[in-house]
Amino acid sequence: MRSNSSEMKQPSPPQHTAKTLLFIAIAVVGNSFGNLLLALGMDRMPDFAAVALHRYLLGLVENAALLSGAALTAVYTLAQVSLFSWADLSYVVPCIASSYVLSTLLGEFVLGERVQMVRWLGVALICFGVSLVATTPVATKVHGAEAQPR
Amino acid sequence: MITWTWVVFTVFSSSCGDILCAKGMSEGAELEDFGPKGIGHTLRYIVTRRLVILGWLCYAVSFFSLMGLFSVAELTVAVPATALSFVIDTLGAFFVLHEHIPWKRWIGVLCVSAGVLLAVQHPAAPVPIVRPAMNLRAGAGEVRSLLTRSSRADRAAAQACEHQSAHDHGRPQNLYQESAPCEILAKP
Repeated sequence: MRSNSSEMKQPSPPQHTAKTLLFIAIAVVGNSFGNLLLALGMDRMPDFAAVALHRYLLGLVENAALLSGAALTAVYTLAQVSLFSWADLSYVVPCIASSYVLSTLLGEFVLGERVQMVRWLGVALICFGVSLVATTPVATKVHGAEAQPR
Repeated sequence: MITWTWVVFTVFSSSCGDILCAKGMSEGAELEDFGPKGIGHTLRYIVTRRLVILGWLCYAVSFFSLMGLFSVAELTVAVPATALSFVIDTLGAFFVLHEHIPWKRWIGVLCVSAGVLLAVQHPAAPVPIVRPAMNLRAGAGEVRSLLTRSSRADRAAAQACEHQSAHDHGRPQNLYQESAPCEILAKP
């Protein structure tokens, strides 16, 4: 799978692609639902200036939506950083931008927001861009311990 | 000028974080064992690798500079500006990480950046909720803040508050001179 003779790795093995897609899906879902839960959690918090600091902090740790949102955000961050161990940065970052698409869908269908046409156009552009990036190889250089011994 | 300084600082620190994390992680072993041992090994690697820790620090700097950006710029300027980080990340991947970037990926990245720019510049219209305020001074500050912003939704919300305030007192009020007895929460 890893070749020291060539910098370019193409095409990506199927199982490698499947693992990448799985981690990108985890990152996208973690990011979108994490943001949604953080927004819902903060919505239930009192005004910071209106209550004592210890009561505010107690409110933070008792807020289930906020804690779930923070946990999902941590999952998203770890999934993204793990992806860097075998996939290109220039592949991972645009693909994770799919979270904008999921966030828009969540806004429209879960929160009942009125999403404007221009925003749907943006979502379509993101989908097109991600689909273009997804057709390129997951890694174009040698990754992992073989690239540089620790 | 100050706004663009914050934008540049936010975008570059975010991209530096991505590049450092990618550099640090690409030098380690790939996650192949999905059991507790494999995940534990990866987590240990993430929290001990110097480049990755520097990447986390850059993310922290980026977060706080984004907060700084929010203090000097509107949301409709601040968030789309961060779409630049996709392009900076790709340039960093090409020049620093020496990734081979096919033309399809370049076009894809530009499309994603343009899409993010469109998607976040036209957020869904928030529904203004007007309710009596406990703190009159804070209410007036909120209204002034909303009136000074250029967002159409914010202006509509401020006008709704003005109308509600006038209705409550039975006379029109000048929001710039008197405390408005209401506060506005722009909810999604």
